[in-house]
Amino acid sequence: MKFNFTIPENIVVHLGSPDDPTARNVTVPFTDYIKNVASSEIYPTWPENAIRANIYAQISFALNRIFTEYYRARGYNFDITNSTQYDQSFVYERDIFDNISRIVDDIFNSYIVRSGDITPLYARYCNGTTSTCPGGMSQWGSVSLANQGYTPFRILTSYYGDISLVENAPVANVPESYPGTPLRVGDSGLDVKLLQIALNRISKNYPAIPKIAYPDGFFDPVTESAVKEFQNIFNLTQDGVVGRATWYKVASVIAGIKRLSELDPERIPSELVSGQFKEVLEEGDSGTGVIALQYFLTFIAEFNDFIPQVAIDGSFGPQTTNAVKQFQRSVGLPETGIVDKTTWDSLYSSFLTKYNSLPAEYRTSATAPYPGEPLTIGSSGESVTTLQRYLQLIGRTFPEIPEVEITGTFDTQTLNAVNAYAREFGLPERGDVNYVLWNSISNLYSDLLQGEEKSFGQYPGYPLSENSGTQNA
Amino acid sequence: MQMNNRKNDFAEFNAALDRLMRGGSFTEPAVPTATLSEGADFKDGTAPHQNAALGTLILQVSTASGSVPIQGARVTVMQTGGSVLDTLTTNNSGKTAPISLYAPALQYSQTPGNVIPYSTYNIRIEKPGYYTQEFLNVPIFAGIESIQYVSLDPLGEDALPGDRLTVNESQPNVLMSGEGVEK
Repeated sequence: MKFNFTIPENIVVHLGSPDDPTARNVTVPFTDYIKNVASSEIYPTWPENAIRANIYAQISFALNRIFTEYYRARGYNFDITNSTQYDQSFVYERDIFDNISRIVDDIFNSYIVRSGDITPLYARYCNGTTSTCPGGMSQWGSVSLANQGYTPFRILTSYYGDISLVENAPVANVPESYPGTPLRVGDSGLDVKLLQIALNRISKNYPAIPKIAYPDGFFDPVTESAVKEFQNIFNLTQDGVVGRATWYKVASVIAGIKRLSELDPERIPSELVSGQFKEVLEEGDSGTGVIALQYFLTFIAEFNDFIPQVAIDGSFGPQTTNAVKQFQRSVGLPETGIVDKTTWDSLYSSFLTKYNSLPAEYRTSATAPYPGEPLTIGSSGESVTTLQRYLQLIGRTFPEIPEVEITGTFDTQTLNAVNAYAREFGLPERGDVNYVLWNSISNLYSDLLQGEEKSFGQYPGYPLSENSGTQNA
Repeated sequence: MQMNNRKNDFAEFNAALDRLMRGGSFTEPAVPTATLSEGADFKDGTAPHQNAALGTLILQVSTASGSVPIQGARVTVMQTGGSVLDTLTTNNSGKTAPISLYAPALQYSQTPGNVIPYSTYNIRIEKPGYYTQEFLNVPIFAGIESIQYVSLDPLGEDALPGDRLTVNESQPNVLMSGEGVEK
């Protein structure tokens, strides 16, 4: 039994009947999947209450498949199919309707349960004209009820009976859950500061978002204009207020951008990203060759929905075999799941093509890897210098962190700064810098540094005057 | 069989729209009833469109799962019959300006019926260094903004000319295709 059920980041959809071996699997973000289903199953021109009722049912149906492991427990390597005989319609790469997109962004982490139960409801539905389903919802019937003034919840109860709505469930891979109340002009605090840092980082990739010159935790008019442009780009209601939909959208965009920069080959030890074929790799193998393989697959998966995500753990298991097979299929090689020289060379060339396509400014990554052992009082050397440099830059945005001099030795000043950092971000004050703390500090450093970089013509975040100097004018 | 009929209806409807647009101003939302009725009879005997409305389309082009917007991609919007309606380029967020397109009147999507309540268009996206992509039968509804997300795939130097195009064909809505069986 699963408790603390979280909304998954992605869902794997089989594009055909369950047993159709020619049908492919695609890995897509859960919200994109629901937007696609709603755009394929109903009409966007329906009354909003009917649309919402149907979307709640579609979310619950999909989550039920995942929660009960309906397909996976039967040995399939996907979560759901797009065959309307078994599951919901999903048309890969179709267009999405703007109003449906906004509603899904608002309610994607809410679902229906039978009262007293925790399982997302197996919310059956049918069109209500050519097919009817007792105990399920009629899609056309929901339109009539909405036209009679029914709320989405009343529409749902009139079909599914005694149900309740689980709202704002936790979302996988989102470090900070939505604080619960919208952030808007005049608000202040750590949530606002983290939002500002995230928007600045995103604006490096999306330069239409104006820079927030001083991420000081005060939701000022510049922050509001950055939020509005973010909402405009990502098809959200452009109100300048950070409610649930905008909060989670910021989280998912920044997660994608960071995933890509963490995969930057410059951050990976060079012996791992060598394109040289060394030996045949297959299930059961482990070691650096497998790490390199998994790294290539993960990078390619960022560009290709047909390649499932794999963990980069150096151990060649069924997940890796499946990803290798999907890659082989993408490039027209026999689906053996075994990495021989042909498959290896093809993987490496595909990786290089994708990597070289990225604009140069996305390739520079700034942070140093974890030194391999915790840093503590008395440690010295280049890693400590780096740590002090990171803390110094962070201290400019976070005055809670006392000033650090760059000495190359882990002294009490460094310790005080490290402890202040841990307090600020709710991490344990251990008196040393372990893996988790190092990554947290270097990530924030990277966000701040890259967030400061401006593109040509980008609004600098503060009005220019004659006294501004020539740098940005 | 039924599916085929609907497809023909579809073609008829698009042909009617095509004629309409060649004859009229593209920005004019109101459509003369007479023009549309002419030639737009549906084979199953239901009423032709009394009027047409406008929907909009936006393209949003990126690579690397949306992390990198693609500026300067060339977007061509076509009638399913082939004539080019509009060409645009994407901005630094990877988006085009909204494109106004004709769609059947709102009423057709409000009750079950045999008239397809959306129109369809074909789109091509080109950007040097990436596979060209085509999206076929992209549906547009009255009063609704459609967003077509495009994820561009970088082209390897060794790619053959014949490999340089990816085609995605959209499927009829479940409510129209009659495939919506009980789940």
